[in-house]
Amino acid sequence: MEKRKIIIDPVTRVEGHGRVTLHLNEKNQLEEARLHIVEFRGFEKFVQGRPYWEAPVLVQRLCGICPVSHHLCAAKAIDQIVGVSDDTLTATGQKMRRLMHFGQVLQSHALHYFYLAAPDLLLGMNSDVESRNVVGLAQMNQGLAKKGILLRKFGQEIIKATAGKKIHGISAVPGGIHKNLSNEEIDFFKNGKEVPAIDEVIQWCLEVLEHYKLFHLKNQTDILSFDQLESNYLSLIGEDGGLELYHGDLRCVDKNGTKVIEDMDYHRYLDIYEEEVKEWSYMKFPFLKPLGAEKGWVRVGPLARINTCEHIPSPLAQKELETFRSQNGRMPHGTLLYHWARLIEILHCAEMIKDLLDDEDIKGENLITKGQRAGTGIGFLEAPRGTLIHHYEVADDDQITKCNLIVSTTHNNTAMNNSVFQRAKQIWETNPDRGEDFLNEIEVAIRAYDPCLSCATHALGQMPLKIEIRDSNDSQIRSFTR
Amino acid sequence: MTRKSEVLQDRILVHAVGNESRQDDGLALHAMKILKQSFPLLTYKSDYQLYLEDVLEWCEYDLVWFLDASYGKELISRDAKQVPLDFNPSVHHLGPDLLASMAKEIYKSNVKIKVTELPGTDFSLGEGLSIEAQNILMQFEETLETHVPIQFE
Repeated sequence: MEKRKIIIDPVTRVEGHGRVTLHLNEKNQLEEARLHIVEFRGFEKFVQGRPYWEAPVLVQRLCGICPVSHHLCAAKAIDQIVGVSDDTLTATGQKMRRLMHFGQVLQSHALHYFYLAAPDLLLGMNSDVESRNVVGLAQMNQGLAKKGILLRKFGQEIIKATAGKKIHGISAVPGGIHKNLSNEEIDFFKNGKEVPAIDEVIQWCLEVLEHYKLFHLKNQTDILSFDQLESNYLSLIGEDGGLELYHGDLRCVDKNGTKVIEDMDYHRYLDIYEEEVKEWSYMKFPFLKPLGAEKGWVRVGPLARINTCEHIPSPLAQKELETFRSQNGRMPHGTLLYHWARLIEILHCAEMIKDLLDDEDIKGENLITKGQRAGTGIGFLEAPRGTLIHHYEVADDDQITKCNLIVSTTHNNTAMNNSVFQRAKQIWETNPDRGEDFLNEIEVAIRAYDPCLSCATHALGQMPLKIEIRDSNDSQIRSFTR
Repeated sequence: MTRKSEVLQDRILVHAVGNESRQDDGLALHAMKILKQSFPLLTYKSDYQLYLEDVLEWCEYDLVWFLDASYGKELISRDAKQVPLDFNPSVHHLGPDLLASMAKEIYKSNVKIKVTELPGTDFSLGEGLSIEAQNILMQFEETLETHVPIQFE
């Protein structure tokens, strides 16, 4: 039998555009799965020749969903160019940035869970495609849908208050921040008049978690058997091994939880990092040099952070972590557990936001500092989707000469390909003639990682999911669409 | 067509989305400039994309006129479609039809949603509109009265 391939194009309900091809061998067995990322950003070239202080504003244009992460990661890197480290930032500068970041993670996770993931999980991934969306979710549970919308709005308002605007903010500058929070702005998040009060937000996060845990209990077998992918996990980590989203050392653990990279200063990342290029994707395949390309790929994002950390430094989220571990063990590998981990992080962010709103430093006047000029700046951050790396080289004339960006989704590139392969293989071997639900299950595997493949245009127009089966001559022998 | 007696001008939101750095993706923003000159009393809002929470703002109006570039071939103005009849949320794109359905299903809102689709040709990085998109914009201006979802005196 000749070789065939199945194409799923595009992948829906992920950020940006992707395409999946499933390659069959001569025996009609699934041989390889490829998630193709064919959009090109080119930002690493765009910023060359620009003055370094423009970087935090320029690079966030990469994305309309998580621009804050790029804004802050670039700012962290550029801090070093002006001789400032996270330790020497002013208290107000650091806490305002953290507040912005927690708002960003909260809104991004809320968007993903309620708009993209919950319809699959709560309505069923094989449920009627016409109702498997946020409106169908609202018809099933109107209160849950409303909370999702308001959680997202709350996070966006935190970003507006700290970054100056909801999208593509401008407040993080080299060496600090250019605004603090006023008493009126703080009261806005506490009085519950225009957005839910922070105490209510925390309560909702707990309710959503309870809702999810009930769902998990009822569907545990399906969730855990969906895709068990043993992997390494990478994230920043706090000084005492606590979950850390903004600044810390780099930790990588293997599938058993053994530390492969032991709390390393991230400025040395080039000692351990390498990126592989494949001809069929613009997205690189990073791996840890000590482990090699085959075994050195990692997973990042919520599940990775939950697996690398020893505890969560906020009491309610810590309690949820304990429940999570009592249910799933210390090193769970189920890909769909990303969703549960994401909900724990939403709660953690809400708790941290509350603490920061009560912190007097957030109103401080000492916003910016500077030290001795340097030529290299490296910033790491835990973006909603995982570890984000910005690396800049700056010449004496202040122009950026080199820029290297490793975005969160890139870290998960190999993992997403492996998850697609495992899921597709399982389906293909049992029932290769399955239709739309087959496609959706592949997408569910990808969506668990909440990938941001690239923000493109936002024009109106249906982009149908299409599956094609092609023979070795690339001739289409079967196709179907939603 | 809704008459002025039914909807006051200050109860109308014109909401345009797009990115002028993506050439024709910015068509709606150009169209909004034309509308601002003709109907200065309406409420205008623009952004790079639609957000889930925009539905809260939409519910505060009687009528939302949503403008966006499209992958279609024709300049079209229409009522919002009702999800879940013919809509799949697709990729990163949160569409006006889904938001219209959310307004109705979640918030029981009576807001009327009108959608104008402006077909673009070139959505790659770059400033300015393609020749084809410039023609669409001209067509929009020339036939404006057929697209405006309300009669003005």
